[in-house]
Amino acid sequence: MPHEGTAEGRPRRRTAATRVAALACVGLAWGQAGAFAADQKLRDLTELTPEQLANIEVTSVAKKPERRSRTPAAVYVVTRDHIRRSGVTTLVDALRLAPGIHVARIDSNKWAVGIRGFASSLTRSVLVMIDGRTVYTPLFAGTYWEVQDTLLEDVERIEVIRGPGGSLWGANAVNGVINIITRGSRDTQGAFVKAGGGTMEHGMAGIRYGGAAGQGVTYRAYAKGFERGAGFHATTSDFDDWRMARAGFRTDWERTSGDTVRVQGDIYRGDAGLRTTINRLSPPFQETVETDTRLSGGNLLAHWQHRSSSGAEWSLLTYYDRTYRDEPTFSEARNTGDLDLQRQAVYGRHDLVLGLGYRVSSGTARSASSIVFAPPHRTDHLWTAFFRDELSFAAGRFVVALGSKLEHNGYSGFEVQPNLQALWTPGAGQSLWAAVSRAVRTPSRVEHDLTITSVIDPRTPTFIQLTGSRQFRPEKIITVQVGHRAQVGPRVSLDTVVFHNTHRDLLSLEAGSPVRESSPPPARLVIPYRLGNGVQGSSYGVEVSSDWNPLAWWQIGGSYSFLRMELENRSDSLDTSTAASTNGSAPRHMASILSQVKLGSSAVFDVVGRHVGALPARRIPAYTTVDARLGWRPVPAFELALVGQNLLDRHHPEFPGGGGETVEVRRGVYGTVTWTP
Amino acid sequence: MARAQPLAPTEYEVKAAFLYHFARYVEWPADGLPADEAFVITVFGDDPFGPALDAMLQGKRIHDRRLVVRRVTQPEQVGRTQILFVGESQSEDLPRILRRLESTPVLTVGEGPLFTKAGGMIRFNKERDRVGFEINLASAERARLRISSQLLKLARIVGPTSSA
Repeated sequence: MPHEGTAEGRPRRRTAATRVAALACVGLAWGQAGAFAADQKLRDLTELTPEQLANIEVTSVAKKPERRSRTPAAVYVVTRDHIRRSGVTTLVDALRLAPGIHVARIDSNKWAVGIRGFASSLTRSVLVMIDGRTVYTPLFAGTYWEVQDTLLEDVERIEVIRGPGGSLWGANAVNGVINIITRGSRDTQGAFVKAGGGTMEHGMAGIRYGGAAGQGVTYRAYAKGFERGAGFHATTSDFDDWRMARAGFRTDWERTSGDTVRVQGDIYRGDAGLRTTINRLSPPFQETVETDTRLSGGNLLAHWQHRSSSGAEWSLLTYYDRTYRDEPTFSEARNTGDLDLQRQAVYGRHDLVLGLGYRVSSGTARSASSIVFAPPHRTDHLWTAFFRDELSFAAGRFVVALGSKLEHNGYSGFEVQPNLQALWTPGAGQSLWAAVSRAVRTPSRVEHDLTITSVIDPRTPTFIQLTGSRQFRPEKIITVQVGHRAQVGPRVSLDTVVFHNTHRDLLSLEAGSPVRESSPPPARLVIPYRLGNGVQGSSYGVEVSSDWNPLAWWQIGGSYSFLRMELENRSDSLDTSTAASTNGSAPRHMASILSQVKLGSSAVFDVVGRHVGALPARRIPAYTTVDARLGWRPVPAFELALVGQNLLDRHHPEFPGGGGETVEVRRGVYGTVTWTP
Repeated sequence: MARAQPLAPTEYEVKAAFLYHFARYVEWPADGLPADEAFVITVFGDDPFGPALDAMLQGKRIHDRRLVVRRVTQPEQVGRTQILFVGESQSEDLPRILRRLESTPVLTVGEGPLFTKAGGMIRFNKERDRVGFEINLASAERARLRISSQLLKLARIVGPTSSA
């Protein structure tokens, strides 16, 4: 049957109603939101010239490209422009502006990162990818942020997806996904040189060259290095200084518009200062050392995308990744290989994505006496399959997507992670979505294979011994989310998400009965702890982000997140601290505001203000701070920039854990010169 | 600038705006644009534009006529129209549709790798996250449509192929 409709005669409602609706949504009045659905003013793109239209970027999210405002998930995109103008010098600090993500510096080269709570130095349960390569390590189900880097000017965008993305992105995307995407080599042609230095950033330099080889082949190569100073130490010495060097390349071959190949790789090496305690069974039982963690690694990735004559999109991705780290208490060399195949095609109202993946990751750990991996060598195989079917109704105004991931891993066997999403677009400038997802955080090597022994009283002597358990089960989450996006008038956009998580089988530390041990001498008391799944509960919150362009030369962005964690022990758990410590390590309130001002045609002045609530369990008070950047381009090829970081105080703590005391983040100032001939 | 999602236009919002400019920058022969009739843009099959077409083109006037968006699902229903959009999901029906329209002054716009090869006139493509298009000039000339340089200078011109 033909379904005809003319552009005329559709009811128009007042935009004021939409504004009220948007505000009502913030107040959780979700049931009301739909009633105010109105086709309020979408930015009328027909007012742009054809040239301007051809230059608009319409980038997409997810494994399957999706239209941006229509993603039924809590997504925030940190753009290239923001990264450059905020003056951040690391990938992880660039995440701070996204709502719902807690980024805290432990010391100069370590961070605690959490999405919707759960921040820890291990950044667990958050999947991090760079150009499709998973940088989440199966050693401890977390990310070593200090080795995740590239030339920041080559990053196209960072997508921060809050909540489970399980059905498309794989296991361990429990609390969220961080997807770092670099620019195509076609967009980074020519030379780029940058150098700078300052009080915290002692020195930094980066160089890149991009060229074309004809036949649709473009390439770039880069190298960078930096030396960063230590944080503020009240008692200990400045152990956490940091030096890294890195180089890499990327080649893109556009054979035809439906057939592209990309090959890229990086290598790096560095020393990151560390203060750590070595425990021994013989006197004096404990020794604190200050040294460097030696870090090195490399990766090589190839990606082929092909559109068949029937319109199906095929994607084949493969990579090899090697990491090595050497700390006084342990070292690990890890080699990972990965192969992913994906097919997307549209059949009538169905948009179907199918995927298959295999990953092999092999790690060899050298153990000191107090940290023992048994067995020292382990190879893990991960098999993954997923599907996602997106159904469109009413000319795309209503979309329902059902997907699931099925994986098999060496720790917990088969895992199913289903996901149901719905999106309703009542008017052009507004959409409402809801999603229910189940995800699991599968056990990692530390939970099965690791034994940590440390002294708690050298006089008696008394030790505690934490032993991994093969009985440790996956941690589970069920998340219900509702989101609303609105373009409120031509200059303001508002994105609101409300979520509720049910957590089950979270990790707990179960104390056993103390035992006397006498071999090797001297005799000691050992309190054993086993890993259990004894923590459960719920968490919920609201996240709001907004952009406002009051004037052509002035843009303002802001975000606010509220989070409440209510974890507790299961009645049969003996753990007395984990639930309270996790609850009290998440800031209840976080807010940020960003102002970007153009000063004439050659200068920009940008300010970022941030507030992070207190972490009572970690004895970290709330803090508010400001970063500012002044950029000036006297001639088009040169840019001079002056950046001030953490300007509101001389130093403030963000997260404990830096070798026995809380290392604080210092105020810093640095300048850079950039040359792009 | 870190942006929340809604500020970025979607691919199909940009394509909808391009359809408007195609209407503006193409000249139809007199028999292709009768006096006193609306200017019709017809979407064949699945409408990938979502609400963008209705929201953005609504109330516009083009060549001094009222602009109307119409949606059909069968080749036989493609009646009098100035622009026909055929989405990529309708590739199987494409040869049949184009045969029906042969030499009539209808601007065919579409997607999919084979669109212009099969005789369609303007094919959207997306490269490096930007929407562009290619034009099969021979097909347009056969239909007696004159495409303005405003569009030609942005397009990739593809060679003459048979429309049969």
